Amino acid sequence: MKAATEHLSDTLLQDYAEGVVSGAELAAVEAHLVGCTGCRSGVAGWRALLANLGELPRLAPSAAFADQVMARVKIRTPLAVRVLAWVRSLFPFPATPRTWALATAAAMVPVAIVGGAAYWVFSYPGVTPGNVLTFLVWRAGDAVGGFVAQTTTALLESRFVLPAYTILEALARSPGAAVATVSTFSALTALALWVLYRNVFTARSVDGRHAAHLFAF
Amino acid sequence: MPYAELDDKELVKLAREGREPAYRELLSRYQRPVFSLVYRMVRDRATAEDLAQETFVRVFNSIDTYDPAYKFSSWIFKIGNNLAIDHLRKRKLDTLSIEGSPHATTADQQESSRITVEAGGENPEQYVVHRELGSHIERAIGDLRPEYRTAITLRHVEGYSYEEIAEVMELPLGTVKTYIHRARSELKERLGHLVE
Repeated sequence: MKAATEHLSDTLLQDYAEGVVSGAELAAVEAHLVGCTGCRSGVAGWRALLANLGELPRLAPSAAFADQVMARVKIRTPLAVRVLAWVRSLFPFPATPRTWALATAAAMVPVAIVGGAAYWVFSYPGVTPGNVLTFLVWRAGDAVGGFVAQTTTALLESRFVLPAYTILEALARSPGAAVATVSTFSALTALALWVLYRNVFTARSVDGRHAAHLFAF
Repeated sequence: MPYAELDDKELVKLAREGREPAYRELLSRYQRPVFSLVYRMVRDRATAEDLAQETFVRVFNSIDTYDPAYKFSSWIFKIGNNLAIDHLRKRKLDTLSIEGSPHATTADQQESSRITVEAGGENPEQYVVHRELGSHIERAIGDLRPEYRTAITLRHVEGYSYEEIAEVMELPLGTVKTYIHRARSELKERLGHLVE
């Protein structure tokens, strides 16, 4: 520490005025100040400056600041959260014990009906789960087969089949034309997908939101 | 959910889940501190608004990269300070005035560029005296080197410790202490007759 005749450094006076000096150094500074008017005056000056600096205000941006920021922020919702929100939007989730009780009761109605029907069916002698399963598989196979047959017939009888066949035959005879057609079709598809992506995910509406939010779960 | 009661790290967690109110709460907490820091650096309201906006947009759009080991406030101040420093490197601006932009040429422009301060509960006389002294202090801070401005603002407006300032400015602790001591010495030299 400096002798009483030697003044304390400006740095030490600042630190003392700010209250960041401690321990033996603090005791030495205080002992020096008792006998040094110049340093006491220096401390007073620093305290006045620090007090004024401490009153500097926080400045406010314009009122529209927050909205302007949010319009430029891309909020990415994790997939799990979006799926959960989508499921929740499909079903009105109960919020109180009473609505939970009502929802449980409502869910039990179809369970009771199906259970009663199953009991009634299987109470007949000769009706077993195996028999019922075989019957259901047979009916389902019949339905799928009928659908395939009807669709095939409709396609073969369609007025578009002959022109399409003609075009395919022409393309098969000319590999160059086939490549050009496939390339053009692929390019147009890629262009359409790119335009769709730009419109949905990168272009913003006037409220600053991407159209993607319309498709979010 | 009472977002205002959550701490910064909890808000960041909710923001990462895509909750917009969490972003808005972080904005409400830090828009004045960040704008104040940036404004005192660049000394132009429109530029400060742009840079403060850019700060928030960068922080929010990269919220997934935030490391919770550090204070959120330090992270956002660091980005704001770096943007302001980059701006100053590209363009040097002149005098700060809390009364309005130095570039204003009409009374309307002057009024529209005036800075609004947080209400401090002062009566009108105190406000006028403080505003006059405040203008001198703001002008004196504006004349400091940019790195001194950052250090002084963080220390005396935000109440940051020397260690936190060192983290924001990515400087050694000793350098930060030197900056603050020198900055205050320069301020005292310029303002001594006013503040004592």
